Amino acid sequence: MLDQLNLEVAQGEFVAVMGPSGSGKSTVLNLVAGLDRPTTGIITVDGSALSELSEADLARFRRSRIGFVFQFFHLLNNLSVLDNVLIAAQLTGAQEAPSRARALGLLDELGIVTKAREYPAKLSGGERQRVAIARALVNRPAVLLADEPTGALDSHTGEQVMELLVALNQSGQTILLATHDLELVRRYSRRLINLRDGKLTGDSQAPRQEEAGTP
Amino acid sequence: MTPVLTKALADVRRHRLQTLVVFIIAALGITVGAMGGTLLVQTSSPYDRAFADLAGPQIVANFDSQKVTQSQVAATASLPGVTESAGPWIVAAVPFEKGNAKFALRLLGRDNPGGNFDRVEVVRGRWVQRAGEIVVTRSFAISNKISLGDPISALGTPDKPLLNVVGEAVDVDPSSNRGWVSSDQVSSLILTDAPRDFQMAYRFRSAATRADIRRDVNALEAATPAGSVAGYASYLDFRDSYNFNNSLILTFLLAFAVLALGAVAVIVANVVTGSVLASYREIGILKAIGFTPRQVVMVFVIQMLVPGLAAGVVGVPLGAIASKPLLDQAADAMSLPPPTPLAPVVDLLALALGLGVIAAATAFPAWRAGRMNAVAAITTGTAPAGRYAKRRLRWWGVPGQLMLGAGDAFARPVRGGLTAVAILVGVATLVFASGLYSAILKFNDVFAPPNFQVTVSRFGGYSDAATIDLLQRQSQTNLVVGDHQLQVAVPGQPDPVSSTVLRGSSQQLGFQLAEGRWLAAPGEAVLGVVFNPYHWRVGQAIDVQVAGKPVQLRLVGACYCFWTLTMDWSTYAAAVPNALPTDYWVQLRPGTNVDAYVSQVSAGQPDFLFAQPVSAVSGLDIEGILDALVAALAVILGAIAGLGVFNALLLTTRERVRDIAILKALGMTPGQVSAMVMTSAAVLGVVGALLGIPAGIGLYRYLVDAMARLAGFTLSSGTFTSALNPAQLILVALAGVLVAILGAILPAQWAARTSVVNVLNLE
Repeated sequence: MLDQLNLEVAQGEFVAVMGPSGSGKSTVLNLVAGLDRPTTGIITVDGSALSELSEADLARFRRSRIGFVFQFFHLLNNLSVLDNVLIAAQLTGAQEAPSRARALGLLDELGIVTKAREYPAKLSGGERQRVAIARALVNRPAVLLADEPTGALDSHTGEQVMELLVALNQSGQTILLATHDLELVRRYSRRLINLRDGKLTGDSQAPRQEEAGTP
Repeated sequence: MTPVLTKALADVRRHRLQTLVVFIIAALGITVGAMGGTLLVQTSSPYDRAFADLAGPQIVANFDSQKVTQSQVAATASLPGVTESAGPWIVAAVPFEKGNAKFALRLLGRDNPGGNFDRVEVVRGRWVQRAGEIVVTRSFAISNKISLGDPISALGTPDKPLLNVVGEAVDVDPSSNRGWVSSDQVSSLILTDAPRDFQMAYRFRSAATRADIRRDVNALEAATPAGSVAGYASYLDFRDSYNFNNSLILTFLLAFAVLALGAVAVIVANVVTGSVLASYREIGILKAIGFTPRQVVMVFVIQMLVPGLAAGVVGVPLGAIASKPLLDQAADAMSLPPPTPLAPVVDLLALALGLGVIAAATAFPAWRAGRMNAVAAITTGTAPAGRYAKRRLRWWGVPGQLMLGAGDAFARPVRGGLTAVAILVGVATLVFASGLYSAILKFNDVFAPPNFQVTVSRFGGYSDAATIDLLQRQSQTNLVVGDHQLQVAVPGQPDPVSSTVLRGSSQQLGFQLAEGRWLAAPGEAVLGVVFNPYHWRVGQAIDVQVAGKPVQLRLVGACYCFWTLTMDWSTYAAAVPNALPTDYWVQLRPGTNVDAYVSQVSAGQPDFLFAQPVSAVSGLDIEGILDALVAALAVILGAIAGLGVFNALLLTTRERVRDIAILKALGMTPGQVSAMVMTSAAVLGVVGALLGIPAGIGLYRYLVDAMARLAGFTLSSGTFTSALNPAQLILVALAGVLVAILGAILPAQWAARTSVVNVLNLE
């Protein structure tokens, strides 16, 4: 439950939303993605006022403007890696050939193009999360939402995923990251939003501890 | 309560919708099964009960009074094989009139209704006590609206005496137009030279089979002058005739009961397969805490038997109630009190069969659960789904949501297969039902009466020449063909064949021919396609006995006729030189008012000619009942198939709720989610429909042939293959797909309403 939250994120920012369990981190991301609706208040993403959109319009908004990376990947287990990425492009009605090229390009960039024909069950956690990131990026979203993207990964794989997100942000991608891991925030994020019991308790720049890990 | 029961009942409570679906389809299946079983057991018994109650005769024989004396007939009572007998009574066809209505009765002179043997049961009024009274069959009184006390005029003699109806009666002969008068009156109601027979009723030492009956009739023939046995009917004929309609209906019901129970089995197996797949983790936990494989199986079996039992409690009485009108109708024809539709043994059997089918359908998929490795089951959580069809469909340019839906149809091949089978059963039933309906229409078409509009019968010694003269004097008369119906014996065969002899230009009547040509010369005959008990073929020469004289016939054609042989009068006259027709078929000139013509003929000879218009053929008597039954059962099986799809997609939707939530998170609209689920159903519908059509055609052929055998027809379904036209089949296939899509509407709506946040946050 969020209460009196007033938040603005500029294009190209890498914002971390922090707080303990139940503080409302995931709710913020769900609201921005149009997966949830606020009881009161206005949410505007990339010029779209979400409260004015119908369910179908929200779905169309989501497919074209939002990329979502979940803690537990949420891949479709009966689709191959490539199809998992392509399905998001197909929903926008994009043409097959360019979408395929883009999907393969993303998988290549993320280092898993060799796994394109594999099914999620055969991948490691880190590989699955890379597939999820590729799927989130395939439609060139305005905002990439990442809800505890390293929560189900070991620390080494988690770091790799975070470095990927940083690299994306450096290329201009707006990222909103929900996490309860202060260490991650310190290392990778530029702005930190603190939540507690649904209330904003802090909004500050989070200076990076080091740049060494960035590719 | 045992742990198995505790778990099973908890699952019943938790899966209320699934339980409801199983309950409904099982109730429908058991209802049809109980109805078929009740009719099977109870419809044959009314005749047997009546036969026992009335001490019915095994053989009723008619003797030609011109060839045998009454005392010679009476002497047959002492033949060695005869154990009981009654008669002889004089019997003759006599026309009657009540108001403007005329009708012919087969009148028997009998002074008492009988006692220990061949008893006629007076169900209203009393038996005849004196001249001027008549008792009629109950069915005749009902169909002609004749009440006790009504006077009716006998038209067999010029004085046209009035008879008072004093009673309504039934006996073991189910034919309708019969009446009884006192023995001294019967002769006064017909002219001296009018045809009359002596009738005797017998029981023989041995009469269990048709061959026994034939031997007994041979004994009667041997004991009387040649050709004097004019005809006979056995209790087997009466019983078959009485049971005919019920047998046809029963064939349908039993076939549908098997189909319905088969569909129930398929759907239950589908439900349990889905439950097992969705409950891997739970099954693992059950095994981990100590459930044996057998106990795991029992959890699923009990889960299905609970709604099955409830369905039995509803379905068995419903089946009994549904069978009551047919039972009442059957009993009413014999004027027996209606039998109770509650047949405990049948009801218990229907219930046991229904539950057995459910248990068996549950046991196989549940057995898979019982064998599961506990650790693997807990770890996996759910069975991995298949990965079929999607890639190929994408290359065909199918939109994403449709591609996913089509793939989902086969993601679980067993579930998809079982659902398609449920549709298959529904489509097969529709194909069968529509085929049968068309066959009935075609049957009516080819068996429509040939081109004559009026039938005329002469009575009371009114001569053939006078009749022809009167008819030819009518300017609207185009053609008059005399006809005579008779039984022709076939040497070496037990039963005679029914035959029609025609006098005049019968080729102008335009009988529909299945093969060959119409009669053109003496010695030729046309074969009827319906009753051909000795498998004669067109072109064959056959030897028969007409009125005891050997005659050779050459079969030149086959007609759509209900009798076996049609001969020309010249052929008949060679055996019976002085024979004259008593019935005439009259073809009118085009544009003639048939009713006016009938009135004209009646006015020309009001007493001794009985003219009536040929009514449009109404087809089989039971056409309406069959239509209603087929429609009702097709709806039931359609509902079962629809519920099967509903249930399968419900399972799929529940199982794929996570995938649906992910797709919605990726931007799939509610409409696209619905389209995805509906596509899955449509694909299963198409598969089921495509397979259901050949299955339905096979079922149609099998059942129509079975019905034909029951009816004693030698006509096969092949005659009506064209009754199933392609347009009809396409419509039926589309109906199957429609049923599948209808079954998918609710699951599709639920899928579209899936809350992404709730589903994904629960993980």
